[in-house]
Amino acid sequence: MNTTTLKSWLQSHRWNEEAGVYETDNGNVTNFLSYKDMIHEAEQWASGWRKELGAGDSPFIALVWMDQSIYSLTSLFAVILAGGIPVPLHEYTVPDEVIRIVKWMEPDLIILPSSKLQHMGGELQLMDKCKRCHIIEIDGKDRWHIYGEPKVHLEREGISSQLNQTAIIFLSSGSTGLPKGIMLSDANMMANLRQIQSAVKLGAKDRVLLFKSLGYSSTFTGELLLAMFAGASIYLCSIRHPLELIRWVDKLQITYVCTVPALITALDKNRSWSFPSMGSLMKLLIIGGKSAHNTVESLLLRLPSTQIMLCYGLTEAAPRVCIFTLNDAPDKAGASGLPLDGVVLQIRDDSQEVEAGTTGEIYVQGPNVMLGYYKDEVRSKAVLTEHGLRTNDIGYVDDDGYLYVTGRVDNAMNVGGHTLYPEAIELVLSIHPMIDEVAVLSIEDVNWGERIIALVVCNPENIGEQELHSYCQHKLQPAQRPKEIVIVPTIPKTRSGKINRAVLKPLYLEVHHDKYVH
Amino acid sequence: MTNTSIDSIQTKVVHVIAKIVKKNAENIVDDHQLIEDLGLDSLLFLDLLAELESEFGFELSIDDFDPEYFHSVRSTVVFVKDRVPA
Repeated sequence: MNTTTLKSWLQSHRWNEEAGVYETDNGNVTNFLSYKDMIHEAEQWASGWRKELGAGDSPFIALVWMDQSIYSLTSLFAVILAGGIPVPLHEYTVPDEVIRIVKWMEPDLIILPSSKLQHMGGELQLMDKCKRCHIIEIDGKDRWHIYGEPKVHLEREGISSQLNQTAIIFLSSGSTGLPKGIMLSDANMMANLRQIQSAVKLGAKDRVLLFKSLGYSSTFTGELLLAMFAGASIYLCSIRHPLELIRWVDKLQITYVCTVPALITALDKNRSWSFPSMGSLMKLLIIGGKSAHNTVESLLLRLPSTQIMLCYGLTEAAPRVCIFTLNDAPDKAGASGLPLDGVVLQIRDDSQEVEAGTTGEIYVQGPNVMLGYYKDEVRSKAVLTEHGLRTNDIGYVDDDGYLYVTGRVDNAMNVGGHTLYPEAIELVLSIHPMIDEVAVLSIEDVNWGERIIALVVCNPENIGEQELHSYCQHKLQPAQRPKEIVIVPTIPKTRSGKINRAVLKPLYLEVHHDKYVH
Repeated sequence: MTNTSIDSIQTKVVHVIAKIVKKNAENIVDDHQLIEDLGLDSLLFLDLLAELESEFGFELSIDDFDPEYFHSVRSTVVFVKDRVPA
């Protein structure tokens, strides 16, 4: 088994000196830093932080609020090089959620760009709310500032053996109102990196367009580390619409894009573009849920020089599990792929593995399966079973070994590639003083996969829906916000007093059938 | 295009924006910035454009994404007016 750590890999890798990270604005390059210089810079930062904070050899936990900038990447690598465990935070995380995460995780450090520090009300406000933490503000090249008492030791006492093996923690939506902290080891990360590269085969001439949040393991491992590993260059950008994707691909001669079904659906729906637009794109990887058959089949025709790759994964598996190239197997348009090297799938019913073609719950075994959930042994034990990682996804494997994902065991919803739980949204809404009861459901949506609806019982009854939407804007991440809030007299319950989820959707559709988008 | 139809486009665009950002149309003014003032996020942006295409019957093209469009209510109204036949 290869025991390379992320830190030793970053320190010893022979970087392609011409490759690095480009920042772009409106399709124009505005900044560039080679990987070699970025890691050198990160080493300098790590050394400076250790000196000022007295960091020793034990790991410390650093929440890193990421934006699409070279300096966010540098700060994340600096944490790894300083011997810390980074916890990347999505750019779009709302301040209230940051405070909830800090109180639960109890990190030693919070690292964030100046813009985010202002968003939190400045360093004094943030320090007041996060008393144990030190704060590092990043405001550009060679410019960081530490707030908090100087010269304190960062080492955590009584560190668990799992945390001792942890290289990075990714946050993923949970059903409790707090995210799940998914602890991945160096072995997990390096294994999945090699597994992905073995399937995707990026090269030094590739250009990767990176626009998804760096808080996802998919973006971090499947795009950022993969490009660095292959010596390919990264172009950071933001994309508001799929037609912008076409613009930036053409303008920057991008060869590799990784995106979600929502963007692919909108891209295919628009008939104003045609090949050779996107002609430079060699590989298009679709992650975060299943795309409609007709969409991927249509793209196969509309992008004749592009390999369309479909895959399956979850953060708990670092994250990729299966992948395949649709061009090589066009009759498998509904599949999620074949297991990556070293990954073994099992489809199980209640007590045993089932035969090919039979639907059951998907279990994953392999070197990429996580160490466990941070501060949650009960949940860790529930999913790390003797049969492998219990995914909560339902599906089957066909006679050729291709995986098909067909549903979920739990109540999880998929909105534009984000896995979300109704329970977590209900918890946040239920805190509103005017809301007595709430139930969240989803209906199919042609653009986003699913659309979130909240049914609420209010007191007083005349509270405005707009006020509730405004509350959601402050308390929930964009993907979690209900598209519709319906004020109802009661929430249907089971005999035991729980929300009767089985009847929510039929009830909603009965009254609002005209809004049902199918 | 007559003044009436221009006014009608203006009103319709404001109503579409209001529907997407979940605000009262009466409280939305031309100078409002879509992101900063009305809270339009990346998911809602895609919904807004899809709704404008559906409401006014045009299809967006690659050249429609110049930076001068879609930053304010006014620039969005101008964008739609340029694409709706007289």
